Amino acid sequence: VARTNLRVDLGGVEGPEVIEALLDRDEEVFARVVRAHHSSMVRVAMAYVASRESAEEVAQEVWTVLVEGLHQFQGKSTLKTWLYGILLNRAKTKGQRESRQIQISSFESEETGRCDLLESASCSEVRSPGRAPWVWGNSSRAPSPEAWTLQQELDVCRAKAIALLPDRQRVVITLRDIEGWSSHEVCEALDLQPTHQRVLLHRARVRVRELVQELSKRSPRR
Amino acid sequence: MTIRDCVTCSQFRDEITEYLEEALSREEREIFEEHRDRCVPCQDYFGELADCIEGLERLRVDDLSPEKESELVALLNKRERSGHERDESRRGLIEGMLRELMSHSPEQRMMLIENSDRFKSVELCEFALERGFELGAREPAQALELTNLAVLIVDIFWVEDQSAVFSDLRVRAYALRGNALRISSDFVGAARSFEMARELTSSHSCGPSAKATMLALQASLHGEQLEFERSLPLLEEATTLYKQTGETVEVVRTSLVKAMHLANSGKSESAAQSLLEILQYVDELAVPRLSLAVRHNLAFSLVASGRSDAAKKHVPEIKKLHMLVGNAVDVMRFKWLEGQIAVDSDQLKEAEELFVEVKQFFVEKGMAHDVALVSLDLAVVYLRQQRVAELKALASEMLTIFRALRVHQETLAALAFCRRALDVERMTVGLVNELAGYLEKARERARFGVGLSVAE
Repeated sequence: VARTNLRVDLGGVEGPEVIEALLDRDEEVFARVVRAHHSSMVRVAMAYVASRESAEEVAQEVWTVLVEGLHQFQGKSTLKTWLYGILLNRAKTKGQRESRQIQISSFESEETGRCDLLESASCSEVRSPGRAPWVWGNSSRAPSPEAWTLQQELDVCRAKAIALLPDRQRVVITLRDIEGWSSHEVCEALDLQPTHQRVLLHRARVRVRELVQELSKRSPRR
Repeated sequence: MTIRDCVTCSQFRDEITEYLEEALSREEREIFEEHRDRCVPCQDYFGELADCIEGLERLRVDDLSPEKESELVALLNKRERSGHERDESRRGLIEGMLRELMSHSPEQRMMLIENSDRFKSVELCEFALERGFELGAREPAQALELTNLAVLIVDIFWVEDQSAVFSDLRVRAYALRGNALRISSDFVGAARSFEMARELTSSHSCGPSAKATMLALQASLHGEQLEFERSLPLLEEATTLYKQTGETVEVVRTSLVKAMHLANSGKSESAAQSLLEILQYVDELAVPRLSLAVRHNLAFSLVASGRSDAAKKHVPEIKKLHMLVGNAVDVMRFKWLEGQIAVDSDQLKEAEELFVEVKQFFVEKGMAHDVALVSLDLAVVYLRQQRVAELKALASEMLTIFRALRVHQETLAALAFCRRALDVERMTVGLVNELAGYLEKARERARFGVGLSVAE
């Protein structure tokens, strides 16, 4: 399979001139950086926190840190690494604080990846205690029920499947297969050994495939 | 049967990600690909997994709405204003209110505060306290007026609400007014204000920070009245509280005052000990001025307790800090200290040069008390070398200075006795030290000998 390079195009949102412009509070450049990263930051935060609202909050916090603390940015890493470093930290902390979420991973071992909660997690209803799928986007773009296609339904199943993964698998697959990060970037951001990263990624992929099949079978629409 | 046939379907499936990541060796890759081409179910599985991976990419939707985007971009300017600038303008407003109030007579001021909600402001009260503390020794009268005003405001709050927020503020207001009264030499009024603060801390819940402030300031009052047996326990308690609240700077400041009071009550060894204990905090803080004060006073306490060797170890660091933040007077005090260390290691010539330079400096500055004290150190150097002529000249000079200082009768008597002893050439180091003891006691204000004060 030819894996396309999914990396976010960083044209115009990296480099010393961007930092310079941000320090000068250049709105246009800031908007460009926000557009390049915000949606992705929300999805990545979703790997840790319980709801889209929480994820939005975390992402917004990161922008605040950027605006107030950019002078602390040493330029030793890329702006992207810096932003996501803060994001991952904050999301993790917030996730730990949100004790209201039942840790799905506590019901299944990372080894087997078996999950008994599947019963409660069909596509048509979100009864699972875990994470809501994020593909809905903002309400204005949510498709009307009539416009639903099979593809969109599959997307919902995929999102739900990812939400059902154990924490670390979920973060790795989110960064790698959704956000298109390289394995090197992921290992660095999460402080993982390459072998371990591959193991987590593989388990996550296998599990998502299984769950998607399971979930789409159960969907009343099929 | 070749080795390639040994690849099972489950092994193949386990290796898919490694294959896609190009983490397989050439041989492993060949085995993998061969199995894929040969085994139809595995081929299907491979395809499904690859589809699944590709499908995940579809979840990467840019769903940032224009509204959300402008909301985020607005952070750029909102933060800018809400941070620094807004604080500044708020401060300006409070400052204006304070100026307005202070332009009235104290009676009118009270009326205004009682009748206008505008002035019933916690911020205003805190600002008045802060200003009052800053002005402290420079403008004692104004500092007192400001702290009085703060007490007035917080008392009005207190009638309506006796919750923890106001009890802390009230304790601080009374303690800082006590401090302002002490600086204006109204010791009775100061004691009363501290008593008021103290009563509050025992009858109402009060935070450790406010309590520590009160204790430290009350200790200064006792210290000023040379009641060290009363000041020391308070400083001890304040230090413990500041350690709890993590206010490291205050831990250091309080310990410096404690050491000063210990030294002034003749316990140089304990003073040194207490300063040694805070060295670690000072190093954490990395505030050169505090570091200098602690190290210099530590070395001084060590010399005073007869441990010049231990003091010597701190000299290079102190020298460095003096270059960094010391003023002219500090540097002279350091030279004085070096002179004392030199005496203890019998380098009398070096000591003499240092003392003469220091004495000359204090003469020019008109700091008579320091002239007198350094003269006594010089006297010891002359005595050790039996230089009677110089001693006699110095003793005459000192008598003039001491008279000008209006020092204690006993001191003058002792000095007169010294001069007579010199006449018969029997003056001893013991006598000089006794004289120094008298002189120390005669100090109008308890000060730390050649030590540095905490004030920046």
